[in-house]
Amino acid sequence: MTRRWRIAVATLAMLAALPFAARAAGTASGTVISNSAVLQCGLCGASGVASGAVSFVVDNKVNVAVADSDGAATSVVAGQLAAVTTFSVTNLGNTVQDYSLAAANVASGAALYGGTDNFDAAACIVRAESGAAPGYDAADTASYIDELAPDASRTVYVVCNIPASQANGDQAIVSLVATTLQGGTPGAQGAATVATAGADTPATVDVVFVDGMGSDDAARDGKYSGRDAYRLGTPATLSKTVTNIQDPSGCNAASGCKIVRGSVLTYRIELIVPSTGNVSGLVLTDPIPPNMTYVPGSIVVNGAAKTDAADGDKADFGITSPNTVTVAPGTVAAPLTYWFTFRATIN
Amino acid sequence: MLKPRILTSVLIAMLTAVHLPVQAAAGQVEIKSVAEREVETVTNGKKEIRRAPVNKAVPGDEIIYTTIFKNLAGKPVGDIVITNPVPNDSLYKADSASGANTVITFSADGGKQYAAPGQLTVKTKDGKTRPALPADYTHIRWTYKGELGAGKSGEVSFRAFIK
Repeated sequence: MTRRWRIAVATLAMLAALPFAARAAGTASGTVISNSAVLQCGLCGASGVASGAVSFVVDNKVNVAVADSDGAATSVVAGQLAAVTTFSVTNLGNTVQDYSLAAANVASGAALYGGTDNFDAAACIVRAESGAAPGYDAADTASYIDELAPDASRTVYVVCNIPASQANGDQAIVSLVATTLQGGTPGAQGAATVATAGADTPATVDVVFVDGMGSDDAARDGKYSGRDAYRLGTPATLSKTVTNIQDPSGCNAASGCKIVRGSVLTYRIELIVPSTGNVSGLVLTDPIPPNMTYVPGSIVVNGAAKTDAADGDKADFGITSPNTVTVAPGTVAAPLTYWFTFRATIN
Repeated sequence: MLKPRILTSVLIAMLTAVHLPVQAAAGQVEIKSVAEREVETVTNGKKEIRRAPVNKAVPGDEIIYTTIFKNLAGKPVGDIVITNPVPNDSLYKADSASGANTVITFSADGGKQYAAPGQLTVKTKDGKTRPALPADYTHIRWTYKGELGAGKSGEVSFRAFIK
């Protein structure tokens, strides 16, 4: 019963939403809208008197939106080549259009996503998603958007190099301006659209700019723009060290003891993430080296002892992977220093 | 760009050609339909809204349709009823129908039944009925009260948005 009810509601919701969602961009340009009235009266005869039709054509509404796809700064490192920021360009008009794309560094001092622009990204290029596979790849070669239907969106990548001299926390803001061009010729970049000036006739398709003002363009200019930021974060580092050796002769110290058969080594694995944000899906694994045997119950994570069983303490030995120490904290907030130790005996 | 322009010109020419002979056939009462839009102009800092022909029209624009009728019969004419379908690709604007000395009713079923706004219903896909919204209206009808005197004229109007 509950199930049927749910399905019915979903269908209704779809029916209600469809007529409006499907027509967000509106009636296609070139559509003739015609009105006529009929008057009936005592003297007018059976069919009455019809007015002449008054008609006009729906014009080419030009409206476009540009938005940063993730709404956050893109984390990069110094010297990174081909760092990708992702935008989406949406045709809010009622006509198939082409769009030219231009990326630029914004003036120093501009603020975005909690950071301030203090350097310029280098050698920026713009590429439109080809549709072959999601994400920026070799198939994305077009530098303009070809034949974007009303209501449709296209992913656009701005790809820049980050200078090697930049430091942690530095930020470069790039803008993307999409300019509406004439559509209708697949595979070729269309000519510029020009708003039809002043007087015209109702019978022709005129071009009307109704676009708003973006971050780097004016209202009603056939363009729209958005911004995204590159922010430098220090890359994460992972280290493994031997912090203690206990040899069969009784020596038990960080150094100076013998590494022989029967010696017990304490290994420390340390992850340092200096950037701010969340580290998600974090799993650290360390297989026991050949000719060594894990000392049962020796896992310590951030100073707290853990069991070898897979029992919810996010650490185990040999359960997740054979003969391997697995520490899986999942999502943790950065910046962080995360470490664990275990012991192993030389056979 | 050029092709659709020619095509639409031809279409309009056809539409005009179809309707004109009908208009000419009856000499008793003359009827004419006009489409306009409101344009805001600023003169000496004063905002002024005036009506202008529909030149530029894009989705979302509000169009004012006016039907003007004149009695040329030389004697009073009674039982005048003016019916105007809501134009294609258009949405009737709520409460926009007006006409002096007329009773205004609407149809939400393609012109089969006419009623006052509160009394109209539409069928949903699952066979039920719900009250009709202004966006559901398909036709507008003005019923003129009494007779229109010889030589007298009247006008009725409504507004619709381009979908």
